[in-house]
This record gives sequence, structure tokens and C-alpha cells, in this order.
Amino acid sequence: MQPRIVDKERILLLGVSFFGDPFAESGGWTEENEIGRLWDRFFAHAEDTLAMFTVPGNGPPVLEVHVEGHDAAARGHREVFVGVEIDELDEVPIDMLVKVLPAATYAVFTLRGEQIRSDWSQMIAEWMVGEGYQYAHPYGFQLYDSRFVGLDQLASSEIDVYIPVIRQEHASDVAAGGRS
Amino acid sequence: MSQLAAVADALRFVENHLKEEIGVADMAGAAGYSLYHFSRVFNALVHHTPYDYLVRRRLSESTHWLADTDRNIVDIAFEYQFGSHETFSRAFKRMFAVPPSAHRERCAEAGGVVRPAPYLPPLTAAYLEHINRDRILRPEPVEQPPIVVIGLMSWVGGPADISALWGALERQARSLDHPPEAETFYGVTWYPQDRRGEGSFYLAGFADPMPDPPGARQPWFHPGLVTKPLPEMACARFVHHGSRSQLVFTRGYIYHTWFPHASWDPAFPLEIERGSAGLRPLADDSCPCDILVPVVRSAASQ
Repeated sequence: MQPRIVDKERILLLGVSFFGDPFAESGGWTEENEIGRLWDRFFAHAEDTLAMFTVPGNGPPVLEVHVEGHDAAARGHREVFVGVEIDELDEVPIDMLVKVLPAATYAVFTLRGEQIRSDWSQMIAEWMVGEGYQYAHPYGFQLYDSRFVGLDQLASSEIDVYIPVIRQEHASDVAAGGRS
Repeated sequence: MSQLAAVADALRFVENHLKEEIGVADMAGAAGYSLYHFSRVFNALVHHTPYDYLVRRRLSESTHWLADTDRNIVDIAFEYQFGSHETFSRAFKRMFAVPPSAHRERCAEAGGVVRPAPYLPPLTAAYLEHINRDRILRPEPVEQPPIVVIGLMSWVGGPADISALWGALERQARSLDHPPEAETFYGVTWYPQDRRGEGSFYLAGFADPMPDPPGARQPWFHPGLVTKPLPEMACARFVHHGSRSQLVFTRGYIYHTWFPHASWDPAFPLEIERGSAGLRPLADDSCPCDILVPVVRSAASQ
């Protein structure tokens, strides 16, 4: 699977967050773990506070960001943030948070059908090693838009996985560390 | 026996006889005091009248029966000594702002027990000892300017989860290229509207040292941290003295005792801990902190 390489400006996201081991209770694609609950919370906020997503697939793209910070390797703890892009920081509902992702070059992998549930992170890691890339920042995100029609219709769904990348030969020039 | 121990005896007596036909005189008897002296001491230490405490405990306990069983409301009313459905419903609505039937529906919709504010748990001698220290009981009105708190946020079930989050933030901050030199920590707790279960959301963080312009800079806007802008808010500032584990007492006092008697309501379902221990608020277990609770004039007081 070949990704496309795109440059993106800084991304400002409005949403909700979880830090810890999101799969402590369940590792499956289910609402019975912290990621499922995070989406529930996000949609509740989106409907109540942002007055959006009342029509499925008709709202802006939603990003699920996974940040592997200092505690990831030792404890399996990560941050998961679900949110939508906003332009400015001045209008943040009291019960929501902001996540800022830096300007970066991304490798964008489009996943279809059962690929969405597969261990695509391994496939991406192999592609990065093969092509001489590494993580530019310790996060990645999945973008869900109108092409994703639901887990119950996975066969006709698509998502994009964005990985911030940098050529290995340039990695030492970058102050922010990666997770490779 | 100290006055506090005598009142604690009365509190235990209440818990053991919630469903029985007891009154203030029985509570006084359990404390070994005359009715007159007991009322005075109880008020001074618990900050509820004995009768108010008894009724609030019965109503709080009834919320579990409403949520967990399908027993008739009238049966629950009699079981907790309210004498009639109407008396029970009126008292319930006065305390929780919704009638018992609505509380039952809310719990059914939420799929479990929803603890309504200002639920009053059984109070203990340790609680009484804590809240009767200086300054905890008398909040100061403050205008909290807008701030941007940056840190890690999660759902927490108790002090151990909060402790873990502060530990993770400290490690995460140390790993930044330019670790923050924050002297003040902010712990922002906010409650889901249904207050399902025993948890809350908690943001462990520090204030952005450069609050504006919001879009242009941000050395601390690290992708591994989240940002929470908080607007200017009128707050009641409580000073917490004591250990971290006693924060639950200070918080409890604010919500189940101070608010019901104050002419203020919570403006937002959140509160802010603020202290001067940098990113290590847990390093010193007795580290004092402010608890800022956003408030708005209650409709009844206007």
C-alpha cells in the first residue's frame, strides 16, 4: 500500500481526550473501551454543544489522534483525542479541550474495508523502514469523513491514516523527538 | 468525650436508624447531650441542623432505592419515614431540584445510579475534624481572570488515578525540549452532567505562561499535551489545608453543605485546584491549595 505524501499547516482541534491505557477493559473495535467511550462523549458534545453531526456523514471530518508520549513504551499509556478542526482558539466550550498539532509532512494511508480493522500500524512501520522515513512527531491520527459509513458497513467504508514523517537523514535536524 | 466525638456518635446513630422513627431528641440521646446543647454543638460542627441532616441523609439514601429497585415511590416514602408520597416528593424536589420519579427516569436512561447534587453522604468524625479547621469553611469571592491550562486529561475514579496523571505529566514535561518552569499547578475537575458513578474528568496541568495571542506562539502547545482555555469566572475560593486525601472532605463540604446554604449556585460543573508546588502537587502530602468554584447568584436569592 503506497501512501501519498502531503504537507499540512498546524492543526487546531476541538474535542475530548483520554490519557491512560484505552484498551485496559477491551482491546476490540467496540464501544466498551475508552476509545468507544471517547467517541460517545464527543458525539454527545457535538450534538449538544456544537450543534453538528445531526446528520450522519454530513459533518466535518473527525480526527482520532493517538499520542505516544513519555509513558507509552514503559506503561502502555497514551493519549487519545477525538475532535474536529477549528480555526481559532477563542470559542472553546467549557467542557471541551484543544489539541494543537504542528505543521508537518504526513504520509497518508487510505484504508478500506477490513484493512481498517487490521494491524495496519505494522504495515506502516514496515513501509517507513523500507522508504527511509521515521516519525517526525510521536503521534498519528485517523481521519473519519463521509467515506466512513460505520463499523456495521465496514466493507464500503474508508478512512485515512496520517503519520507525520521525516526522512531519516533529516531526523537529527529536528528538535522534536519521534517514536521510531 | 469531646464534642466532636459526641456528634460523631449521633451521626453513627442516624446511619443505623435511617429507616426508623427517630428524631432530634434521639440523636441528642445518642450523643449524651441535652436537646438544647446538642442542637447548638451539632450546628456548630456539622453546619446543618440535626433535623436537616437527618432528612438530607434519608433523601440521599432514597436515591439508591429509586435507582436500583422498582419499588413503588410511596413505599420508599414510608420506609424513610416521610409519611406520604407528597411529603417525600416535595422534600426530594427541594433538595435535588427534581421529583423522585424524574430521578428514577434519569438513572434508567443513564443505565445506572446517578448521584444527584447535592447528595449528602454519611458524615464521619474525620470529616468533621477536617472541615472545622480554620479558613476551609469561609470562601472568599474572587474574579478568576481567563487562563489557558495545558496538561494531561483523563477520566479519574479517585485519588490514585489523579496521582498517576500528575506523575505522567511530570514525566511528559521533563521530556520536552523546553520543560515548563511552572510554579503553579492547576488541577481542573469537571463532572459529566449526569454525574454517573463516582468519577470525574481531571486535567492535570499548568497555566500557559503566555496567554496571548493565542494563535501565534505556543512553545507549550506540544502535541502530547492538551489545552483548555477557561473564561473569566466569578469564583468562590476555598483554601484547602490538609492532605490530598482530605480533598474529598473539602469538596464534599462545598457541594453538600455550603452550596445548599449559600445564595450561590455552581456556574459550571467544574472546579479548579490551584497550588504553588509546580508540577509536583503530590510531592508534599500536606501541600495547601485553593479550590476555585465558579459561582452564579442563585435564582432564589435574586
